[in-house]
Amino acid sequence: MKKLILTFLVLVISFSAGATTLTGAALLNKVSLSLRGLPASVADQKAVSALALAEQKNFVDQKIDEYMKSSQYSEKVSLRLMELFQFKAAVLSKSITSVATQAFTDGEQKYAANNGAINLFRELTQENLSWDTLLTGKTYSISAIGTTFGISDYGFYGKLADLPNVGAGDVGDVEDVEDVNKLYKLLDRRITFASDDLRIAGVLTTGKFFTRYVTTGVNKNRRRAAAIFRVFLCDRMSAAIPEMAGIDDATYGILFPSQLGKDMEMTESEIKAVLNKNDSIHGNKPDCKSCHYKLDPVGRVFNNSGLILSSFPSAGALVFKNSSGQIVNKPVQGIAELAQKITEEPDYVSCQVQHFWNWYIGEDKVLTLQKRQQLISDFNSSGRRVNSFIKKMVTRAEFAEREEPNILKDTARNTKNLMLQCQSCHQNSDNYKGVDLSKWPLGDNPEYWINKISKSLDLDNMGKNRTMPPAEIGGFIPTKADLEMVKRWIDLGAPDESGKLQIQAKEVVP
Amino acid sequence: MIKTILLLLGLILSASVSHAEFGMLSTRYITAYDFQNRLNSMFFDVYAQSPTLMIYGKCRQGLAQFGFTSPANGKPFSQFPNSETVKTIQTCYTESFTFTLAYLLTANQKNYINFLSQFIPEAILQQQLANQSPMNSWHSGSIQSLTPAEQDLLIAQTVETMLGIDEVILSYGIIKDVNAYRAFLKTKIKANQSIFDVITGLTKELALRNEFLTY
Repeated sequence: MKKLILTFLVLVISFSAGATTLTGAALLNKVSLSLRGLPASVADQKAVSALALAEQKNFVDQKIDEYMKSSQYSEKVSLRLMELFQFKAAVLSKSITSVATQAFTDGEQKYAANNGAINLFRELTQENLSWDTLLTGKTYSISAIGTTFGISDYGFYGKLADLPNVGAGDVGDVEDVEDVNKLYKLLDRRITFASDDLRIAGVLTTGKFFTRYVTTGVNKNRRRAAAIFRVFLCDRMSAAIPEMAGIDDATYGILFPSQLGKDMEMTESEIKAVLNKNDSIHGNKPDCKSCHYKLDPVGRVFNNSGLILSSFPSAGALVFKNSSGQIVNKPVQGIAELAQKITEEPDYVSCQVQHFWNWYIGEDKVLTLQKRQQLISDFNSSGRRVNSFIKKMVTRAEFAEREEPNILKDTARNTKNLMLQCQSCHQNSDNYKGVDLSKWPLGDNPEYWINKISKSLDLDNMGKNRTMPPAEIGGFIPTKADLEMVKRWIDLGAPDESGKLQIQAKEVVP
Repeated sequence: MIKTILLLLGLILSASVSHAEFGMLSTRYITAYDFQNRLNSMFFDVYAQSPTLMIYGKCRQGLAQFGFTSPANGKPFSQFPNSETVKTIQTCYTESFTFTLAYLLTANQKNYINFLSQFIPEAILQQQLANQSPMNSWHSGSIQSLTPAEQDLLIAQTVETMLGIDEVILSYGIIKDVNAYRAFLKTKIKANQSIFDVITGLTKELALRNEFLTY
């Protein structure tokens, strides 16, 4: 155990600060690991090392193109997207898990690795498509593979596309794995909808998105709307009522028998009764409206689409307050129009650029306004094509920098991330009289506020009796790791992102 | 029942596999996906078609600690690598070597030699092959069948395969003298170890270094 801890310390703890600019073989290795997850080959490392500095750039440039043609690169970008969409990052890679998936004749694993959404992610890089395709794509590579719960692309697009009729027994109970795989392969299809089809909008109209963000009588497509705001406009919203995740319509019917046979929708008063929060939550409170004014109209484009895509488009509107403080209010006739309008928003471009920055440069590095503008310009000038833009990212000067580990800064950054989540609720509350938790130093008396945070989270008892976030409000619950991190942050002296301490440290950093 | 267990196992495994990195650290850690990919490229590429090989149970489950993000909220379970990360890496290497050896010993010699050639310089490999059958002796034969100079070459190639050429290693600023580091590794080799055990031990140790895990 002692040896383990020591090794861990070697791994993690180094307090020296500073950054190194990588060149030659070291830079090539970083590029390779970042793009493919594999190091550059020893032969390539030696080759670039032998070149003069001026020639090294060309070599690395060629290697970037080569790496971008690899399946590992495509899978890595797909995985980043799976995580961005919070799809279960299940059996991810055809290349590395094909062996594993063969061990299961059940559809779960195969569906996870081969469905319309995941294949769309892969095609983004394989064909260097525009990033907007995530929203505006009309073509899907689908498979007949279904989960044990009967979810499949064939079922999802069944009402809209002309697909072979696959019965449940056709592919489900074949004992021979090889036969099943061959049968599935024969049923793989590429379906394309008309460019003006109002019902189709890239990843938003995939079975994966629909099943990840299930609509219920309570959320009424707001979960889907919230995911759109989070992924495409970087607007994180916390649910103000307890999550109903995992409760399907059948369960819902048992919980709310009065709604059986109806359209599974609840009235506001029923919601309040169920939650025993008369007039306290989801009534007319401004806190609630601050999210619902935008969630509800976006959610309406999913009307009539439960788990299967509806044959009819549904009208709604793109409504939100943009980063310039202006209200955007654009009525749309269907989800495709909504998606198109999102891609036209400056906040969308700014948000997507931030994703790429986080992935390739690092969330810990500040994206200044000037750099953001430059990246936005690069993003647009490259036709928003994925590989072209990623190449620009990995050839930036910031990419070549390798920062040395710094426990103070690292803890501060991660704690700040958590505080931003706290603040996102507090800033909408009229009752909150405290300081802005995301701005450090915390007010004029940081020690006072840090003590308050510690008590609110009950850090002494690892959150056993915490008062914040309020237990009666669902959505955001700090994890054990979150609480441990805040405790450590305080013990380290509540450092800010530059490592400057706000209070006296209990733990001395060598 | 078996089908149910397999399904449950599948769900557990699928939940364990993730691309995510740890929290917002100034150090870029390779991901669980990268780690698996690396293991695959090292151990399995030579016989990728075999349906019996995969990342093994404990290793795969342990990868949850290696930068796993909760699909529920998109947040990493752990902002920092922890002792479980270390245990996972050690387990993965031990399992991979054990299973790989078991497989290769029952498979063909060419694959076995391809695998070993990642760590053992070609000249030494050929010389050993001329003298003995690697199927049996590399696992049981002592490292002392190699001269000290040959042992140096083996260490050098293993370090290069795992961490990169000297320029790459030095760029991390942790190892200041690669020759001294290689000499240090040599002191860890026990006289009664087999060549295979030496390679196992070295790779397991090297896989825990920042030069392997970060970029």
